Amino acid sequence: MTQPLLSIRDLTVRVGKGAKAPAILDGVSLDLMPGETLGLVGESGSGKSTLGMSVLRLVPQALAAGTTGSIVYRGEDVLKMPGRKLRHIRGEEISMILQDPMASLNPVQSIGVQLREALARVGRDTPAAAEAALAEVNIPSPAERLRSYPHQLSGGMRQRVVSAIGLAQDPRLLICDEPTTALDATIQFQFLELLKQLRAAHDMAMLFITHDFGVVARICDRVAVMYAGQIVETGPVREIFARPAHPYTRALLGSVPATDRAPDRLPVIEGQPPSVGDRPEGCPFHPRCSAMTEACKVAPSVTPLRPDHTLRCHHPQEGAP
Amino acid sequence: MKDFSYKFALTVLVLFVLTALVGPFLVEHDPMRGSLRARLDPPFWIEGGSTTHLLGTDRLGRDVLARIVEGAKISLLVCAVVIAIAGSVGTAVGTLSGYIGGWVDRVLMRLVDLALSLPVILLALLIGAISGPSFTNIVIVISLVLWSQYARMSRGETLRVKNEEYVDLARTSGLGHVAIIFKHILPNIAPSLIVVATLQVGVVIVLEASLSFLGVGVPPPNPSWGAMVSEGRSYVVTAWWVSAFPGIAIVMVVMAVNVLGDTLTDRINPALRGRNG
Amino acid sequence: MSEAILETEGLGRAFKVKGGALHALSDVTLSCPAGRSIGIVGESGCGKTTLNRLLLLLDRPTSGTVRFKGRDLATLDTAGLRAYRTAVQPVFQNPYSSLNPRMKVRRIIAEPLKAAGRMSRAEIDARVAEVLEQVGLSVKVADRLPSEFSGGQRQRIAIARALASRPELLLLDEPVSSQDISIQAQILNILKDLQAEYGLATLFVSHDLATVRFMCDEVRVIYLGRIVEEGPAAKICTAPDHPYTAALLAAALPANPDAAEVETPPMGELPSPLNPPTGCAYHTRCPFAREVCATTRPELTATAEGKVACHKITEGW
Repeated sequence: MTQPLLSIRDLTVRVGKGAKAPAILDGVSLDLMPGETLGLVGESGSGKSTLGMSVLRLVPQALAAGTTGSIVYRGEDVLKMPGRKLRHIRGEEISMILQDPMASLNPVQSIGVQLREALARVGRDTPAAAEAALAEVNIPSPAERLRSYPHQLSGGMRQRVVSAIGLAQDPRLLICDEPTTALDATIQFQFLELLKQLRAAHDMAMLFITHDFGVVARICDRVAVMYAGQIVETGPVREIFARPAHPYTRALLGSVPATDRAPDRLPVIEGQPPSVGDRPEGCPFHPRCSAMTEACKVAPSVTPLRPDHTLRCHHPQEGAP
Repeated sequence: MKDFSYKFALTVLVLFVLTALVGPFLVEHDPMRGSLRARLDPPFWIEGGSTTHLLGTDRLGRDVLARIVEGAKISLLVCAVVIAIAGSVGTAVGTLSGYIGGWVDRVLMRLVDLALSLPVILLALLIGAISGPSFTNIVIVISLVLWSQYARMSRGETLRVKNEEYVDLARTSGLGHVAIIFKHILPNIAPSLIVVATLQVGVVIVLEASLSFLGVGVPPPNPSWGAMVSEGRSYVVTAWWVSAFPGIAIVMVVMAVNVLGDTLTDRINPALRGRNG
Repeated sequence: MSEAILETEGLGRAFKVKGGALHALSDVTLSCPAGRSIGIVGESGCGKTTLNRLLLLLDRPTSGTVRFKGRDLATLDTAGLRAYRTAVQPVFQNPYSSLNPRMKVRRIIAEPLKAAGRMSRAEIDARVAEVLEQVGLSVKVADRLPSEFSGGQRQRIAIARALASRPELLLLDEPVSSQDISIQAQILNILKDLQAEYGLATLFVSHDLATVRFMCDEVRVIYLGRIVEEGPAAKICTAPDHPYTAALLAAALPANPDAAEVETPPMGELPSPLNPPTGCAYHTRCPFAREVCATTRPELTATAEGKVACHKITEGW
């Protein structure tokens, strides 16, 4: 039995101390195997970005005090790690790509300088290595590009540079937080293809945060659906798309328009996702749920529906949506 | 800690405004006239003083407390008039400059540069030498200095707001330029301008005090705080209270204004810069 | 054949820049008949924002004309302009910047009505309540500020404002792109319901073929300021002719892990509009490009179901 690369147990991140403080993340648990790509899907307020940031302890100081649970990476709890070890892990073991490449790149340094800074940490700070890194992410004329500044590149190119920097130290785990949301569709497509190549070449696991099911279908092996700070359903991508058991997952999948059909109306979930301070008692989705009963006022615990398909719901739905 | 200083500052300022508005009706002594028998009496807690004159008297026997209260009124008045004039002129210039753009913008901004290069004190001294100290002079001089800050701020804000989508939407409804400026631009640049105005209260008070101190501001016997500090200069060692109390008043009000302005800036700017869903 | 509410002919907008001209839009001819929904699809830099601005009179074209019920917009008098503004209303993409944060919702919605100057205060208030209800919001919303509402609610307010003057055509510029999926579905439904109930025509600008399939009857695909393909939504979104449309379709990732692998995956980068490719603007990214594609720009020619600007299709390679 292989050990999970990353094992999160009961992670709860509250705004402020005390058990009554509003929780951005509420008892989140998940496992990520080496080389596996796990998608985190959710809407605003689901906490998916906070979860991604927590793995590297990048959440704001104010939230650190209200954090409980464990994030175990290769046997060590990230939340309890001393600063030096954490800094070693960031970049060398776990790397991150964010949504806005302009925010990740220093606008006043050339990309060559930024790339070599990352390479220097693993002792590969040479022009040849920098060029090779850019070539690996399919940037044309890499030698000249090293001298370019971020604002001279297109959005898609910048995102590739960010990836090159992220991969410079050959990490085992890449966390991607909506890396393609700001890109045009045709550029997104190519970037996802690039990510697939890179993960094979570097044998990396990926935690892929997105709101787009199409992206999940394209690049993820397993997917965890998040709602209001909890993971409500987890399973292999094929299983979740074919037989989504949680009413939220079903409803969400159903409400996305597709190119191959034009119904009169899209099935909708009434209401809107709750904000952090405003979550209902028990199951956070029950006020909007079509399968809601009195039982739902008590929080459901995680139950295994099938060996690798877990659920947090009192009324799992059967069959295709 | 931050919250405390904000509340303290607010209290000081409320006290200042109340003193200025209501104070003059409550003090028993005439700030303009004094009894020569009661010259340079010390404050009541020092030997020689009495509770008749709580903060003592100045060299003409005038009650210091009464003069501070009247001085508050003068300071507030000067602030109000200056900010009204500088504010309206500056905002008008800046908003038009930012909205119209082109050569109008360039010309008006050169005007602002000109205003900024005026040497204030020198100008005040010049005007004061020519026509003597008066309220009108001091208001004109200080306004001349301060209007450009409103112009710069409102121009910058106008440039930001005029590209917002809701302004486009107003245009598509057929609204004309005047309507857009008054209904959409001004209400949205107002918060920043209020912050400028708040911070300027301190500047006005210091400027007015300085000019009065130099003898070219508020004409005697009006008890401007600055003039009072100046009057007490010659005997600051023996009758320190004549300069000290108005000086303390100046410091407290100006500090309070700055703290308030800082807090307002923090609160207003993040809210204004907008958030994304 | 219904009369077109809005139509453009050879519409173009060029900007003067250092070293030449930037053609944001070139030779765009389209027609919005009453009650029909037309989709405009394209990615960044395709000119869809420019098109919107031209149609809203926020900008003037440098070539071509825009006609409102047969009359050239450039020649309309005040009464004509008022009629145009009443009949054609926009909804923008970002509900955080399209609502004046310091205006109560009531004033925001009433603004186009007040500007037209035809209704009394009471009539305006009644209409505000009516449109709020139509978009699924309570009339109590009217006395609050936009900052008190979520993105989805704000977009509904923006739609209510657009409906207030009883328009005949809605110009929708990516109205759901910045919303959560579940909110997108709600808003798309509202739009479609309103369209059906009031016979509204819509011009729906988007980058997403799936959304356009749901909302629109016909689609026009724009690349670097030119229409490259037009046709019924069903065809464009399932079996398009133009290689760019095919690339867009491949890029519209379906929520299906077992979807077939794409034959012609998208390639290359969007060229800069400042320096567009010669000949066919798409040839630098097209897997089928031949010599003629680099030298001659293909004209928009009719096909069985629509039109396409592509040498491969018209010459039948």
